[in-house]
Amino acid sequence: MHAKLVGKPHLRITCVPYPISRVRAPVCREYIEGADPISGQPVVDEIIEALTRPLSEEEKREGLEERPVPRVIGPDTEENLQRFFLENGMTDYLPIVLPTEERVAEMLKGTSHKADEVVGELRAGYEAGSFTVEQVAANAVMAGARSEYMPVILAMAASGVAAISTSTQSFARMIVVNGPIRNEIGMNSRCGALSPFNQANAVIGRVATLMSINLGRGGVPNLTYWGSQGNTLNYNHATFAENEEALPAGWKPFHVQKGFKPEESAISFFHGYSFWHWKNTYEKEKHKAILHMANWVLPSGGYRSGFGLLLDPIVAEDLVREGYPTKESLSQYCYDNTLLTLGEFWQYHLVEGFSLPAAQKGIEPYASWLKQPEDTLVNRYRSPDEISVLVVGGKTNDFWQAGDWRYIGSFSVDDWR
Amino acid sequence: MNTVINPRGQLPATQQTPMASRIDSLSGKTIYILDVRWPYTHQFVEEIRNALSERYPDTQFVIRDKAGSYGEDDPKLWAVIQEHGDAAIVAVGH
Repeated sequence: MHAKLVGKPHLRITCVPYPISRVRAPVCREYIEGADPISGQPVVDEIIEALTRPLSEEEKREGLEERPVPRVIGPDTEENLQRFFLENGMTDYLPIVLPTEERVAEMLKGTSHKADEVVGELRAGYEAGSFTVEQVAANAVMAGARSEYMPVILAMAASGVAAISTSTQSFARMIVVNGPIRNEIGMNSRCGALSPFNQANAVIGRVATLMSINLGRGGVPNLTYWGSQGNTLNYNHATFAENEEALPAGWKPFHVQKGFKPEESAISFFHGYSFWHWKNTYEKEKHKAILHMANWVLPSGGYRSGFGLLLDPIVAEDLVREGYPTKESLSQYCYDNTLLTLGEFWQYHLVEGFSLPAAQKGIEPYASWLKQPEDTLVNRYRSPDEISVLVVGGKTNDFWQAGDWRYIGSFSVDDWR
Repeated sequence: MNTVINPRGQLPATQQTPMASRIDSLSGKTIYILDVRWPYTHQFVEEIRNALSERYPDTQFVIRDKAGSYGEDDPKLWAVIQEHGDAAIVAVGH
């Protein structure tokens, strides 16, 4: 697929069994002398043939291929159209609402922007597809959105952040909404905010996935999606509103931390895999328990990492009492107290793949770290900003969760009203 | 009967370019073997060289790491291969 997109549709490829990382020499040799698992031919023979077989006329060809996308599909019966969407991989395999012209026109009433305005580009597969406000609205209809959600949905689309990636690592996103739009569209920031008990929370996250599939052309296993196990978070990407009303005095809403005014609305994207729960720790004081969780994250290196805390308001209040008058002070505490030795740092799999090449290119601080003793202590995170603190929940217990959530960016919702 | 708005975005045109010309044989040539740098894949790349060297003892197989991590371009290395190599094998993956 990628070969075609970069203009080499006939690239000569041979495959070996996975993985080849950390595999001993005799096994590597077995793979190379053995059969390509796809073609069944010996790998070494395929390598030799790929280098020596004369090019075919098709392989010598050059030229431009246009790939127009028609604005409408149909007319056809509802049953046939539903089947068409399903069979062409245009859904998340849950039931969809067909984006009829009438429904899309109704959805477009949720924004002042014109239907044919180009919003931007989204790359969830191997290439960035460009799209209009109308195409965003079609995805919103499919997910079951209300027209008043459109500014949030358009902000997500315009961000250029795809919810789904091509990686073998089964990533997901976390999507957080801040500002007045939360209450205007009835989002849940309280009890059960991360569960499927609220239309706006459920649907907005679902649209993110549908847009990645349809606008970003991703999400096709073994073609544009290679996450080995996948991730159930891809159904709605942990979409919730921050409980700004329950923030302790001195704790700012997340979007205000990122430069927005309290009266402005914004969405924030995070990148990661999963959540884990405070109960895995034995500490009595919450800030100490949080450190255990912050120490379980891949060190930030050439590959940027991150830690996201989702605190119930009760926990936030307890942390104030424990000496953290702001979110920033808690992030700083985590940053200062999650050190590791360089000996440990260089052992991490992704550090070897990303930070070592960066060090060898002379990029600091990794280049200097490579010359320092293995017992040198370094920070797990590159800055306190890699530790995000969010408050969500309904005060039914002093629980919290956290995850390997790296902050990507915050984007204006008001621009799309 | 219904007509629906296509939810799919526009795709850019693709420009197909001719592939690099092939060599008639590996014998006596200089063949680069590139590791695009997934973690801990050096052993695999070395075994490719060993397997090919047994078959083509008079061929020079040169292993090179691409600079940076797997997603980064390395135009300097491409220029070196164009100048000194007859062909290249690129090891992609993990």
